Amino acid sequence: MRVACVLIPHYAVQVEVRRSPDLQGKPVVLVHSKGSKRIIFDASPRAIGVAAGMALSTALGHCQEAVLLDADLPLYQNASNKLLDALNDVSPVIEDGGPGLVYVDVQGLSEMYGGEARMVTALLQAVPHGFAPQLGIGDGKFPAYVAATRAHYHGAAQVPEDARTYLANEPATVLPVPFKTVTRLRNFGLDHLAQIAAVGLGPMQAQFGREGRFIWELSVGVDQRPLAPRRSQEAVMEYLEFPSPSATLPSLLLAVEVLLGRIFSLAHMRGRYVRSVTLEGDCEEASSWQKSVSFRDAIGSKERVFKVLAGALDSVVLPHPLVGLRLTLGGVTGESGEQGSLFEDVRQRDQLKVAMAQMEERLGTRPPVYVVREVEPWSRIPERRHALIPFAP
Amino acid sequence: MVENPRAETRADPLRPVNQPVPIEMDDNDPVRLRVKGRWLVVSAWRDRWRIDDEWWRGEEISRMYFKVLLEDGREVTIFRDLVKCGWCLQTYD
Repeated sequence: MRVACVLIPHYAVQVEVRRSPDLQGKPVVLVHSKGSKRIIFDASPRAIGVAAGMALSTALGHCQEAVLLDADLPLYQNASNKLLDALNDVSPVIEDGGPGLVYVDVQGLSEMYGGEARMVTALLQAVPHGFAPQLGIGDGKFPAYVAATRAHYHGAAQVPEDARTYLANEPATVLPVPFKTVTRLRNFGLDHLAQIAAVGLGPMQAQFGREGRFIWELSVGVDQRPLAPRRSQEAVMEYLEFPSPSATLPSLLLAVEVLLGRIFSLAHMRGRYVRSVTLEGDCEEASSWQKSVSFRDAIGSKERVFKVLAGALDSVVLPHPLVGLRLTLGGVTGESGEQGSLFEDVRQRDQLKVAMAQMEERLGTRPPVYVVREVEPWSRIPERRHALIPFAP
Repeated sequence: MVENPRAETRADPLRPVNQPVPIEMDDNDPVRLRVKGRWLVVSAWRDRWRIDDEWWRGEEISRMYFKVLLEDGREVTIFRDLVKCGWCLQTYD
């Protein structure tokens, strides 16, 4: 399978620099909170010695002149979605590999674009302006990723036919496996892919099990993992600007009500149901605020969505006053996913009784109407758990 | 128009729900399967588990279940009948 890997190193930092160009060339360090800890989310290459996942105190020990910023996760997610949408226009099958990493299925795509060079140009040009993408092409996700790491900014690299030799000098840290596994590999003296490849499949499998086979295959340039295609979901978005910055719950709820009213009054939303809602608040000179709620069942009315949201927002404390609010309803569907019961309502039960009597008259026999009953709900065999029994109103 | 046969539609007292639906698979592992006449490639395996039951009865049950992601984005549960050596589609909650 021919795969292209579009890599934008330090994606979050690049998004921040796009927003505030004066950060260009500075040692930008993005910090986010994990429980009570302050952890590095991403750092520009100029912040020497600082890496993602590092504690803030350690990072400051390495780079005292760092420009510290709060990580604006909703902003990076929005930027990622735009990148994915743009690449989806070039190829219908793409996989979201994480921030700034996208795998593109390019099997047969070069013929469509009139050659591989033009296809590469189309992929690089699809990346929104202001980013410095690196492109790698290979047979499988891992070789393509390694090629992307070796490509120049705005350039491409291709894995040669002898992928094993091409990958030989790569360190074990490049493997897409947990850090614990990399440590174990190092304990065995396996620091580079060439060493892993030389060990052979049998010993690797004996020591690391199924993961050993995976690692060995990657080390010789074989990656059989299929692309997990990105699922596109229909979503509807509306935006509202506050007359003045606001941080109170009543004003937030009022804005939500207005936005929901706007969306549910759209002609194409009539009779439609939604599965999730995301609120993104723009803050003045601070990172944006986000709250997502997924519904247990699809909801088709403004009032019910508002009721669920109001409950979810009850305990929310806004970190900064909001200047604008964006409401996105996701998973828009034509069906509610809810099935009402015919058998609970007494009035409906009477109507059903009459309807069944009429059907019996017409068919000359009892109509085949059944109800589902639990038989062995604990059974491990799915078909033993429930059964249909004839319905008698 | 099809004439009403006026025959009695006999309802069995208990009819099992969620019966396995036989499907075609072109390999020993779930790689490509045929559902309703359409071949679909399996994009990813999400989960795998095995059940062995009722071995004390005449017909034992031994199945290897796979929760798989199909190329069209659907997630389905299929199993390989290890006794009868066939493949089936079945919801497993």
